[in-house]
Amino acid sequence: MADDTKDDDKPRKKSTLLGVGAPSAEEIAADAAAKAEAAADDAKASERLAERAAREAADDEKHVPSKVTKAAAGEAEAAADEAEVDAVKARTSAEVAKDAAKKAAKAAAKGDEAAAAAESKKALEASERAAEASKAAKAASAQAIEAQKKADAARISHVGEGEPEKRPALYLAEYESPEALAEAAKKVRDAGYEKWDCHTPYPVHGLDDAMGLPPTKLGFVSFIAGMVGLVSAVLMIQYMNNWDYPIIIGGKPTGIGAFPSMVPIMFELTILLTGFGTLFGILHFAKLPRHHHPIFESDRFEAATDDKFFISIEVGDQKFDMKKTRALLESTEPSYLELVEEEIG
Amino acid sequence: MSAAAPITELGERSLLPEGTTFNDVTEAVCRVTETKAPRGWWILFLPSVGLLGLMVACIGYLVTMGVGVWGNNSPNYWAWDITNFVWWIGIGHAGTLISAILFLFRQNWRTSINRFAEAMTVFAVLCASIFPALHTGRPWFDYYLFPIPNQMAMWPNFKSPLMWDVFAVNTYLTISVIFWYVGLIPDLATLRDRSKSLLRKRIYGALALGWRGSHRHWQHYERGYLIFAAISTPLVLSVHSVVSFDFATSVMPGWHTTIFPPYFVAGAVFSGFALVLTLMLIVRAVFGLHNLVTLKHLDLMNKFMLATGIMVGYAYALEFFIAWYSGNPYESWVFFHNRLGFGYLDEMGNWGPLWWSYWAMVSCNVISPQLFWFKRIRTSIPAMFVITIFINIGMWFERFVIIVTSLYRDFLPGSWGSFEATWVDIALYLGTFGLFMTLFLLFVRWIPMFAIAEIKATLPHAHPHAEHHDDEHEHAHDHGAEVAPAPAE
Amino acid sequence: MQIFPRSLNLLPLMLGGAATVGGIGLVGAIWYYLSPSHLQVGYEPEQPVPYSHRLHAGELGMDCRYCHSAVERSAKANIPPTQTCMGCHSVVHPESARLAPVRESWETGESIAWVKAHVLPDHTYFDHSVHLAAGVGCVSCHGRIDQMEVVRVDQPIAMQWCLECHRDPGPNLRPRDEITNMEWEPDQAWLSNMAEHVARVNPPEHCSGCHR
Repeated sequence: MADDTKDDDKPRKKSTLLGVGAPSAEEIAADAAAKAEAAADDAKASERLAERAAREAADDEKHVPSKVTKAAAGEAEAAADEAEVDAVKARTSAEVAKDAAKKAAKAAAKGDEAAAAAESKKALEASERAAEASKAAKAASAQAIEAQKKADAARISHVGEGEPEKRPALYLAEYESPEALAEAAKKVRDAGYEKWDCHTPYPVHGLDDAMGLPPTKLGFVSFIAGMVGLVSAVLMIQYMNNWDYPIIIGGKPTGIGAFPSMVPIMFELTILLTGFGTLFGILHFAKLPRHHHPIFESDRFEAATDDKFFISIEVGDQKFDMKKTRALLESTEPSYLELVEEEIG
Repeated sequence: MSAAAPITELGERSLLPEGTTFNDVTEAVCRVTETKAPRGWWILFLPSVGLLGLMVACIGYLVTMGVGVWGNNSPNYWAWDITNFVWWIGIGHAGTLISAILFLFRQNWRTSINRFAEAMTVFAVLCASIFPALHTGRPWFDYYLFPIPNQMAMWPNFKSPLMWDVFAVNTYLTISVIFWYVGLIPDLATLRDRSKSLLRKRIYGALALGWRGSHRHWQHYERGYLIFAAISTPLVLSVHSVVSFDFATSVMPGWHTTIFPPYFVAGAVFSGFALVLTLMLIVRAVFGLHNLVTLKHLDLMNKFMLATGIMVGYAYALEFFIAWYSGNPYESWVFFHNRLGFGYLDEMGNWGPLWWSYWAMVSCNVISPQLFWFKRIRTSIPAMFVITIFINIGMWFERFVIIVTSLYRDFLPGSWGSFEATWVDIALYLGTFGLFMTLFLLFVRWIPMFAIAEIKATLPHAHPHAEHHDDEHEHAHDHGAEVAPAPAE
Repeated sequence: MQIFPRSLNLLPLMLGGAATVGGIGLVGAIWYYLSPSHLQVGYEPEQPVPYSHRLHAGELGMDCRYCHSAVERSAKANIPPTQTCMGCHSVVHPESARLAPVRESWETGESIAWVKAHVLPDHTYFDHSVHLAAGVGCVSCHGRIDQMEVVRVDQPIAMQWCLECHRDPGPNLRPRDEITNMEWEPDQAWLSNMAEHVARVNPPEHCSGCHR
């Protein structure tokens, strides 16, 4: 959109520059035609905005069917229609202006000043009409956006009534084979996504690389937990049987001299705490248990624990973009692609 | 599948039938939990619950009357109770061995039996723990065994091997449960996703912790699984070693020997495999799981039993050698008179009255598994069913022999006694079968009894061709020969 | 299909926290509520005869050994037979209604069913005579009996409580002739010879000292 207006600005600037001298009829006509063209483009842009607003308003109505959303959606729809009509008008006028400018240029080339002046006038008039239509389109578009905002507000205030409100949560792409999944994963990895994941019914080897995952630190956690177990066994036995309350049996030592008798329990506690460390380490790193997750909204996803392979890219990713992400996933040829929405709240 | 089919572990292609898909595995395993229980299940379940009731009644009677209702006496302070304890603990060893040690050795065939065996470990250790808990005499004071503040305001004595046993068995139970449950999480998620009713979905869903097969989770999960295997391996070797310390650190002839730890561990694995196989054969027939547990699996398990049976036989022989070689008359007395039944006669000219238990042990444990040298026996279902039952009986007798024939006639003829089991001894032992079988049958009915995710990972097409892997592996890639690679990493 | 509401995501964590707190609480509760100092101390059983130690041992100043006559010679501090009561009460308050069970016992020969207040576990072998011979006073374990209308358990009869004294008997020792004196306080001369007193008793700390 921004690029379009920039391009449109150029001829206008040029013509004003040329206009420093006495502008010829041909030049005036060309200028008018360019202006009309720009106005038509603006009108088209306004129409698009109005249409989008109308679509979103309709979406709001679909999710939260109520009087307010229905009215707002209707209003937006009407405004969008109006903007469309205006845009067509502007386009027609721009065509007329263009045509007149062409004729003026031809006449000027032939040296027919009067004809050129007449065409130039026509072009000016057409350009004015185009500008007006564009203004009207803009107004209609503003109206549509206004209506859409109303619909949005109505939707947000109506959460809990009827259908709950939803927002996009992630893209879910399904693949038939681990090979396809690995290839797709590499593409997603190379595109620089971070909040994304592969979902497989069993651990697929090679995906660590394909996803670009750093090695897990679980071993470190388990090791620390095991050492805590070892030390706590020594301290426990020493505290209970030596410091707090020495139990002397058969005249045997109670302190560190009793080391051999401490070994079995040192070993068992090391194992026990390593086990706990590993269990809680897995749960911590995997952020489980997490019984509710937007990905479960997809019914298709139930095959992820059977025989299908999935890639999910979350909306929260910095690089996430509705269109680009979709295009990226489409380029990996998934057997199914879905935008999964989650409830707001 | 015929017994002549190739075995992956021997460099051949596929452990499961050719063309098995991921969905086939899911279907085969989940179907058991989703369809109505077959008649065979009910035929096993109802008597099991009956036996469980018997166990509860026996425990109630025992707690009310005191441990005197057992046949234990002076000098047989330990008898059936500790025999059963050691026997059940031993049964449990196969589970950890299969899930941990075979995992570390990359024996992929374990995937068809590990879940099953792990469950048996958990249930067997539960059954085992009943006996020492009751044998304390006042089970409501059993919390004295743990290092928590108690009524006496005393701490446990950590120099006692019985205390080590408390730690070893409880650690074993805890780690086994965690290991089992961690392995179950992805499969519970499979059941969740297949469930039709919301209640069922919610129950499995709650247990599956919201598992979504995320590879970021698999990464930690696989490393965690490896760590569990790595810690369970020394643990399983330690548990029965510690159980053997209960005996070996004493000065009883017949107990006071250094061969006990390895001897106990070998025996535990031996008996554990036997019971896993006995139950596996039943379940396989009841639920029709011949494609998941093939004759190849059974063949491999039988080889394991043959190997551990020979180890146990070696230990028996060596005990006699040491009894003779040490020149210790009490040791010789226990082995030749109390156990073997000849060589030493008592003053009446009699053999030890329990000689038959020793011979029952030897014939079941050493002689019967020798049949497994023959491939025809190893692949014959009725033959292996009978032999595994013999092994279970023999391993029970092993513990009985060790405990009772050492205790009932030792140093002083003045403290000689004899042992006779009471009906409570027998009923309680049978009752723990009820507990075990009830839990076990509920397990096969409601929980995936095969590791679905792990089996899938062993299918030939389970992993993408690793062209991004090191190039030096390239020569090994002749399509299809790429069997399931090593798990983790 | 979403099967759990989002609010449930915190539940496992909360359950875990509750289990931890509950577990610690359980251990704490057992530690406190199931300890002898909570369960035994303060036990005040109602006796078949409203016998008052305060009156007999306190106001009248009778020696403990007048009734518990075997305490210096036997493992048990015997409950006096009905004869001992009747020795006085055949002439003192012979018609008192409160003494009716005693007279009945005297006539029928059936013992009075006194309720034991200080109960030891069966596997513990406690010997009164040994402790008295070593110079442990009645008051050390039984408290101020001479002030009790009804006998009340004063000390927790727990293993650790026994062993505390066995490890450091000094504070509970006294001259043998002061054993039944409820008000005896150590003087300077006694305290200065403490090492000697302690060396004399040598209480056992091994298992079979009390458990045989």
